[in-house]
Amino acid sequence: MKTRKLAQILAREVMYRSRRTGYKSFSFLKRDKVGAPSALKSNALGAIFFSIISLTIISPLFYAAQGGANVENLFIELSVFLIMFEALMSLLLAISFTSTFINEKLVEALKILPLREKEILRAYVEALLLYWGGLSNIFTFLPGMLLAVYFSTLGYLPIIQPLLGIISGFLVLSMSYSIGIAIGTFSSLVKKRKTFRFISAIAWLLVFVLLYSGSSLLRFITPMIGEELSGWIALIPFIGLLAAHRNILEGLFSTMVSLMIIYCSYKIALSKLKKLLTLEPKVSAIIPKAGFKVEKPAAKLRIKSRGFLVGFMVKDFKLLGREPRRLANVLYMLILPIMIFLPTLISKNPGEAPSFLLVMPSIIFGFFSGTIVSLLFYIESSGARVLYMLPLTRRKLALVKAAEAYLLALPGAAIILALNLYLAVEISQAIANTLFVVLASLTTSIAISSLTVWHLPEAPSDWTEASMSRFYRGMIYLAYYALLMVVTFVILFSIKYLLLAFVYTSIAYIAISMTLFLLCAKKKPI
Amino acid sequence: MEKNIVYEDVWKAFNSQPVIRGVSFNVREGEIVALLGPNGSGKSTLFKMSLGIVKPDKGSVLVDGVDAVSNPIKARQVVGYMPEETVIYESLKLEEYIEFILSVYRVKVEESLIEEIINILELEQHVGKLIGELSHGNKRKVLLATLMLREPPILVLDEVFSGLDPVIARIIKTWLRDKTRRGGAVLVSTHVLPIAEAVADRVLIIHRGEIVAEGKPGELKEIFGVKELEDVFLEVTGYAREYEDLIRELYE
Repeated sequence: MKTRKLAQILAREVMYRSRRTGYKSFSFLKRDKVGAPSALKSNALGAIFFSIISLTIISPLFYAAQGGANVENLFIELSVFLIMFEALMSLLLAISFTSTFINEKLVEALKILPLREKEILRAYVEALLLYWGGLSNIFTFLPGMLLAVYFSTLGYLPIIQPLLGIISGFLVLSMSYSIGIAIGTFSSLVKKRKTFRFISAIAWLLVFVLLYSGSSLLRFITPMIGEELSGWIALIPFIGLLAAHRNILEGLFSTMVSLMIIYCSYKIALSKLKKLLTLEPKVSAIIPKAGFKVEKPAAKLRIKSRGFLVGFMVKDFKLLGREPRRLANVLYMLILPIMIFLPTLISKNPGEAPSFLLVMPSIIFGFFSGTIVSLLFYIESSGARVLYMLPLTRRKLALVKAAEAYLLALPGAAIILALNLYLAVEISQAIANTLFVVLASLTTSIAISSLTVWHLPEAPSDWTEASMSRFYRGMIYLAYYALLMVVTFVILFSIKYLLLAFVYTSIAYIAISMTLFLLCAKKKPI
Repeated sequence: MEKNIVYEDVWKAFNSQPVIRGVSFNVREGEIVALLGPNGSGKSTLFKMSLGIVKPDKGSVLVDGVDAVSNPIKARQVVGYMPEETVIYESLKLEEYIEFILSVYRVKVEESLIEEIINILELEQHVGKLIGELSHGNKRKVLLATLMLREPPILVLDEVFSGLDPVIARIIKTWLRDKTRRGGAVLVSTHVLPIAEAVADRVLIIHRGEIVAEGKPGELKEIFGVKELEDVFLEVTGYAREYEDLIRELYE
């Protein structure tokens, strides 16, 4: 079989199986489309999207040059940001492909075919690069660097800088793919071991936070224009290359270290993949000790008798705890609203913060915490098929999921209370704000949960991000949040007394969520 | 009320293709009925109807007197169903899965009984492991354990013996016998005809959505004048001896 054909089959299979994992390549291809995937279609969307981002990041160079700023330093700063973005995207891409490949046991299917390891490895890399959008990641840095080359021709920048940037971009790409593949091969251990789960959840949370803080980073970069960058930056692997034309020795050192990192990560990825593809178990050179192998004693059986609600919640929290990516997503949705407002709020002294500034986090947090309810449906994944056999109505399920989201949101509400108690002029306002968080969170959870159960597949199916229409979800959420925002602002701006406004807004929220609950969460089986 | 299963003139089509055509039969209290048939003959569709997962286009399905079409929630409470494919939460440990199922059905069971059933099914070594790590057969045993603990009055078991070793198969047979002795009604399907013969009081053979033979295994063999149930099955499902010659010719 030709390697290209095998790569196409492999990519198509990963695409199809990714329904369960919830991953998706950034492409025009559909998961359930039959037939050989096209390399163009697989990479075009990513290429367009990344090109726009890449050009947007580098474009401030032009304005800075016209304003007489130090363009050489600004180029380094912008390129660092560009490279970070590139590394993150490439890592995510390689991890998603590899972990689907590993977790769905595709390697087992390949092992039984009369194929050499080399052929499989080549097909694997081709599938990742050509059909999982791997090539499109070149566009995370190349268009930006080419724009910088154009600026060089205008005399704004020494031409060597963007050329070094291009080399650096390719080095980062190689490293990220190797590290991504190596990390992906550990994915089977994530479910089994708590430590891996913990590390994985933290890593995903960092990724989400990095994606959010990307835009803020640019805000910090701008004031740095004109400042002299010290030579130490040239020592940093990958990044140092950008300043190598000014610090040749440091640049050389950075390049050497970068190449070493790439070599090591490539070796680790290759050995991990090879280990998985090994056809026969290796014969150990160590002679086993005489005697019987002592069986590891089985864990003690602990089964508690629980009621329906608690039993269901325990099951869901356990599932969530074993899904680091979704757990990180849930935590991120709870942390984000606090992250947005915390810097502004803690910079104020008690009594200084305007009421509006204190109300906003309550509203936003309430909305965000409600949104996590949809993630609590996706954790069911292939286990959702079990629910179709149980004596469970959609209404009951909607209530359970809403209750779970609400419970998860409570620590956030406590933080809002603490902030309000510190900053609010009157204690009554602090309590009102907190009550509002609790109410907004509860009503949003119930509303989103009801809208989700309304749209659940009728026939037994997996529930993941992939199996539920993104368009539907997007439109429904947009419509719901737009309605809430309109109601909130109309009441807040038309009623003078804040506490009274709270009461009216609360009544409106309850009315909206209860209407959706009664209309969408029917008493019919799942 | 009698603990029985009644299918009355059931019809079902998928994409205008009829899969069940006017099927009527019942499983009485204290009886084990084996539903046999080739792949795609409609067995699983009929089984799913007992829970209301699939609704018939025409006809009715009653379980323990409950209409599974109009009251699927109640039907799911009285029926213990084991699907052909292993539908289970692979990210839960086996004890967590059992705990979840018992909490949904609000069943309180002594921990000693749970331990006993886990031991009988030889699952004790797998306590603390994620279900996804277990073999196909052990996953099926976890599903069985939940049914044995729940003790529903009616059992509908699709390919219950698939992937299980002879010891466990014997345990299931004993459990089913005991169940019917205590008044339960059991509907099973299997492709292993000697097991069907050994366990079932009555056998139904379904072919292309229709019941083509019904009776006690011994009676059926007598009617068709054959020694094995397999021969009855082949006869009524239209398997021709010419196929054997055709296969031989293919490789000569």
